[in-house]
Amino acid sequence: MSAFEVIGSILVVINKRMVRAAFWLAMTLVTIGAIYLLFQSEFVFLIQIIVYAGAVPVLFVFGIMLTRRTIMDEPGPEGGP
Amino acid sequence: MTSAPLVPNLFAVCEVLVLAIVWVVDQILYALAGLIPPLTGLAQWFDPVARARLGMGPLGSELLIVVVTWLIAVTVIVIWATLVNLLTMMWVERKFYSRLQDRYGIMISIWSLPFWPFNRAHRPTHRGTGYLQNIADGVKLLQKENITPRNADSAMFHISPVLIASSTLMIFAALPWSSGFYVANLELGILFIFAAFSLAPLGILIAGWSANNKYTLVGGLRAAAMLMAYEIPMILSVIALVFFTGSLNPLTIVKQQERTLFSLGPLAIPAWYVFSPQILGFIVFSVSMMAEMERIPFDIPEAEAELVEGWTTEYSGMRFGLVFGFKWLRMIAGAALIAILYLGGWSGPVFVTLSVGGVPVPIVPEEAWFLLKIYLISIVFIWISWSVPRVRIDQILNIGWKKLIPYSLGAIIIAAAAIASGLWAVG
Amino acid sequence: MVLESYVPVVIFAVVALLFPLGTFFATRLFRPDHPTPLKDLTYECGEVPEGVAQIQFHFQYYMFALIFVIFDVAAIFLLLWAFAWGGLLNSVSPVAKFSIFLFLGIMFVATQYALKKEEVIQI
Repeated sequence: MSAFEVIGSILVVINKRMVRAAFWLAMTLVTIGAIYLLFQSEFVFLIQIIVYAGAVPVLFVFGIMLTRRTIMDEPGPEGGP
Repeated sequence: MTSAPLVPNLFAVCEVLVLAIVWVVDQILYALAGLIPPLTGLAQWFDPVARARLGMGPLGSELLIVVVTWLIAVTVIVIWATLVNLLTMMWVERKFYSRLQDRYGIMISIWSLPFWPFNRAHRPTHRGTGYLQNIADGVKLLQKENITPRNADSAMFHISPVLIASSTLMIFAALPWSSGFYVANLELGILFIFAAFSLAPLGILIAGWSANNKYTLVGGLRAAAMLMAYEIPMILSVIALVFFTGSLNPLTIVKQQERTLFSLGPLAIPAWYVFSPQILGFIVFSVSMMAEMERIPFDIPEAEAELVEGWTTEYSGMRFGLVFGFKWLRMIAGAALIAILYLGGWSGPVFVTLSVGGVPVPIVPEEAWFLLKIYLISIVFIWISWSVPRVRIDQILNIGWKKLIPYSLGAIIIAAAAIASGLWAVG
Repeated sequence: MVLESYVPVVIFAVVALLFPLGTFFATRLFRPDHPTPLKDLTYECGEVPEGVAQIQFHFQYYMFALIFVIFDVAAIFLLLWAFAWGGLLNSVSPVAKFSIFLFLGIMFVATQYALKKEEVIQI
């Protein structure tokens, strides 16, 4: 489970498309929930899924749509990435 | 007297099945061991008698057998939910709304099959009950080409239907069909079902975004906004219910509703939560469940006059089939949740109990009561959804945020007051 | 034991994940696959599509998502409160009993105020 979590979080960071990163963030948070389950805290696991996998990424995706989509692809106003 | 389940314990039933299969395999292995001697050890490992002689534990406690048994139990539930109930629900809906519109509706039945025992010359092919129409549609979708738009984000476009379909299926991991016919008996089962429900908005949003189509994008955004708006009142009305139940285990909640509330002459009113101060919560929950199913008064995410087919516009072939067909799966789950929480679940009278070889078999088992309630609730939903016009998007959000949330907060306060004043005893 | 009751759920999760994947791979056996440039165009009612959809745009649902997250967390507090209500009734302190109603009131007023911002919704 930790391995999935690490893979997921790496995918979050290296993805250039923001919505993909948000999706992998959701998957990472689900695996974190599974780790809570392994610690025998059922309630925290379900809350993690409801709040962090169901609600927060949706907020992120809405937020991403408010920003410039090609933020990573084209150079910024100062010429940097 | 309350009814009994037809399947007293799904795991035990499947274990009997697995052990029977193992016995058959074992006989084949013994027969083969005559030719290939090294197989004898394997055959003995599977043989209960030889295991007892060699001092090994019973076969049922081996990890392999347990996992295989669970696999079979899970497959039984999945097939029961998708292949039996999903098809029946689609058939009920299509037939029922056709009758509402004063037409016959789907008619493809077994007599429409184009080969021998069915293609009678004197028999009209399109005059049946129509049950095979959905299967025909499924086979058609199976053969359709799967088109990915060039501009789409291909990976997300293909992953999001999987996310939607799996999270919808996961609802049935915690949803019991009777006091014996369930996969997992979770202490927080209702919360688990909500968790499975709450994963869908993200999938829908990503599906709508990744197709890179204006219709899907707007449809996905609307779907996510609507599902979010109605999930809150749903959770809040369940919280109002928790005051009365003190538990989130579906089995416990149904067990509390099995007693009689009061007698009205010969009629015994059961202690269903809809007959308690929870009536406000029941109304809020039903309305938001209807929105959660994206049924017609709330089907603004795929308002076909504005958005072609909403967030499913770009999907084709079986991908469309799954995301479209699983809406009925969510409908079954929603109706089942309403039945469990407010309408007494599978509790109901049993009329006669037969005895088949010493095993008591109820004539009207709990599963039948539960299915009856599910289908009745669904028919009411279908009836409403084909009778009323679609609600506008801002009206939808207003109903969700400005009406249903205050009502569900009111339901919470009523429930808290009812417990505090001793009007209703817990459990 | 919590973990033991989740063993079937884990197996169910695996099956639920494999079910759509299996279906999608199974369709490869039956379906044709002849992509043409015209077919692969984004659907726009038969017209040649104009621009892309993934643009920067002020989607007004952002406010709703924000309130949703807050309400989700608040709902969890309320759930815990509902579990504890029977015990709270026996306590003598009125603060323990009734402070949650203050919280509910603040939440309600704040939400209605926040929604004022999105009175008119365009899409």
